[in-house]
Amino acid sequence: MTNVFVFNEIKKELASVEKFLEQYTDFSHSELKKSAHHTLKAGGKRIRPAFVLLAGKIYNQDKTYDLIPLAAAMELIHMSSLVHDDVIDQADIRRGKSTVRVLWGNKFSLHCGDYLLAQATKLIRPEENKEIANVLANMSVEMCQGEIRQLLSLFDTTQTIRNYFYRIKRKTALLIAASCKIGALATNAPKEAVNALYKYGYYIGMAFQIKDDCLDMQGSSSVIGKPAGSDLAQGIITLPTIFALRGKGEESRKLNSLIKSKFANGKEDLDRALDIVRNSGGIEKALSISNKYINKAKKQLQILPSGSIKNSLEQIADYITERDY
Amino acid sequence: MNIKVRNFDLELTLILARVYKYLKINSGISIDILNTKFSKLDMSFYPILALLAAQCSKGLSKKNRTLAVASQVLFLSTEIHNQIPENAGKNQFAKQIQLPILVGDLLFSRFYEILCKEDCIEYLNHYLDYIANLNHKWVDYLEQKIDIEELSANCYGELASLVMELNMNINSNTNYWTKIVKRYGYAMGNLYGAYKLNLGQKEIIKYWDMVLETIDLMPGGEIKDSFSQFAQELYYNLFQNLIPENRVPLSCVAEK
Repeated sequence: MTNVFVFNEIKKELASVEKFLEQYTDFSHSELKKSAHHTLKAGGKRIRPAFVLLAGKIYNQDKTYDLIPLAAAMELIHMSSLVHDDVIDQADIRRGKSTVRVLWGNKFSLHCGDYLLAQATKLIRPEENKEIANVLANMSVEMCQGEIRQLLSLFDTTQTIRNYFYRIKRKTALLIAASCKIGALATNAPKEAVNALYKYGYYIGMAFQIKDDCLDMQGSSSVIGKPAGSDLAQGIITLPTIFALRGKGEESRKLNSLIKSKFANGKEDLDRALDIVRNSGGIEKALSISNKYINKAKKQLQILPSGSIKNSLEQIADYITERDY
Repeated sequence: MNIKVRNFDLELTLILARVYKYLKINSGISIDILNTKFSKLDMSFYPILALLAAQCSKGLSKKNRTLAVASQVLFLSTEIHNQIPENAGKNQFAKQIQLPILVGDLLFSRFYEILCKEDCIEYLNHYLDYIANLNHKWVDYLEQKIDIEELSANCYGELASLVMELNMNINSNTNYWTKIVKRYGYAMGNLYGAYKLNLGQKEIIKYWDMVLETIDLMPGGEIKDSFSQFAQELYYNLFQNLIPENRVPLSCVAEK
């Protein structure tokens, strides 16, 4: 597992989450088990479980083993959405491995995702953890609405920055915010800390997604694990592209027409569009907004007690700015 | 097709209004952006079962109404996912696969949200077991380990049975009553499934006989009459061209 979020504070617990996930997904149905293990073994940064553990550990160092099923549930919820996303995006590769849909088919993936989500929700023990269940329910509704909005706005060059923020809030930020909040709630952290950690997660999530969208424009497939410009190729208009489209010059108009034509000439058109975005200064503007979110996230940490966990949360914020994959 | 049950009109209208509230998205009603169309029966079958079960004891409570709404939203979510094809026709990927996946996911979240917000979270685990089992069976079906009849039973029959059981249990009914009503629900759900999936006459007769058996076990009175009336209306509306001559009309059973 490539995991930059393995800090000493939660290293042991993250390993336990990994083990827990492997055992929990040891389903009686062999193909469901194989597909779940396939997705698990493809790796991933385990960001969500890490946030549950870190947020939970700030106020209660002794209760961390109670956090493991919750942390695992967050990863399973994320996993189930990825299995569906791969069908929606017709993705063949995720994290360098064939997707479930390639190996088992679209229908299988659909039911596998639903099965995983049901199992993940059970893991939270909703009857005993009503507040946590509530956080997850709200988050799920918002996430799905964001996904629908994204699909309905593909190749729509009239999208505003506000539309983009609506989408990424639901696509990424809310799940990280919820992870932080759940960790804090599970360990009975003070209300102000719960709110601060939720906001921290939200800002981190926003910054993370903007950075991800910039990397998609900049990177090479070997580094980012998917072809460069794959979002744009699918018609997903991200912040750098919105900035590039806002220009008044010939290049912006060209970009607009390339997107509207859905890259009629294939790779040639896509490469041309990527060049326009890269040369427009849109990536730099987007990155500066990402940095602003990072600063806001760090500010939320001020009310938390000093210590190694708080330092780790700060380091995560810094890592998001620095990461190149 | 408009199947009615005595005295349920107002309650059903109120429940459906709440269902539609949960189907709303920014751009309108979520299921309207799909190719799938839902009939009046599709929108009211499970709520009617919930109302039937609720009247078996102290009458309709807030929780009964919430479960009726949640069950219907869940049903729509699973139904939308169930109907997604393996591959889409030319230029139909968004309409046939992408949007239905997302709308189904949204409705599942809505279902979860309803139970959380309306203080019915204690029922969630029962539904989750149903969902896990349903998707397990779907995978079995895709691998040709089970036939369409078994899939239908696990999809429509089990949900109907669950809806009736949960609505009975809200008012702590006796085991005996709950068992009969659950079985009635299972049989009715299977009849509905037989209609939805176009199953053969053998299945229809099997489950119709089960409906008759369960009604036979109910003590006479208004409640039995409403169960009979709904079964009769469903049966005659769905299968009027298929009913063999030697089948006993339900009205006779109700009178017995």
